[in-house]
Amino acid sequence: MANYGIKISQAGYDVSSANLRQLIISSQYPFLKAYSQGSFSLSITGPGTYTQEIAHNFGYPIKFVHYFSVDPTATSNRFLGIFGADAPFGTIACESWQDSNKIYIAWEDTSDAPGGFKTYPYTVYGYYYLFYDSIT
Amino acid sequence: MANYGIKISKAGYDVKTAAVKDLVMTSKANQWKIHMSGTSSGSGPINIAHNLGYTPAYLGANYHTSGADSGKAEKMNINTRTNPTNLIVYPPSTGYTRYFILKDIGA
Repeated sequence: MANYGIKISQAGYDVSSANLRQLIISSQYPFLKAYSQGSFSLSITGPGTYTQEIAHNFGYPIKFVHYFSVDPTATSNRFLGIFGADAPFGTIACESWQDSNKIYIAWEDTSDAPGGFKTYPYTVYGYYYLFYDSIT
Repeated sequence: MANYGIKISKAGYDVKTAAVKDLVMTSKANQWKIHMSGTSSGSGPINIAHNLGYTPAYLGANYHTSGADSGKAEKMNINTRTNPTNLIVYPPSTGYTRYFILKDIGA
């Protein structure tokens, strides 16, 4: 492989001898390249799974990450987007999957009415980041 | 938009024609920038002030340094969360949380 590209070391390290952990960037390794970010809301009206589709149409599965919040009028906290937990009288879960052209982010609440996690209806807010980079 | 910036292709790809996914980097795609990183141990919730004034994205993992899972890393506790003031973490009782708070604004 030809020896080309760029690297920048952290302050205090000689870029010509620094190891990878002492570099700020090295083009020897691919960077995460951000494609888009966005948000959505899902109205949870009763027991079930509610899914948001996000199209990117790249034709290959990509790297992505997402977060969520519930009832942002009461709290500004955002949680990691993948979890499952037993709630009183049911299970709640946030999960995601993808095919070659879309990301799917789902909220599941199996609690019977009036709701074990929160009283129906309530709203879940999702926040996502997509990258150009393939997962393969 | 003017056609300027830098890009570097992966080995085996022509930088002039490579798709974005086949580039090591391109200045036309935002790079996630680390605002701060560190480790935290103890009993959660532990507030880690970031002083950004907006809700940032974050990443991290829980590492075990003792017990049956010693040497293993796993996803952060499901109660991990962020807000405009703090990242709130829950380190494992047998280790620590390593976190990365990103400059990039929450969507």
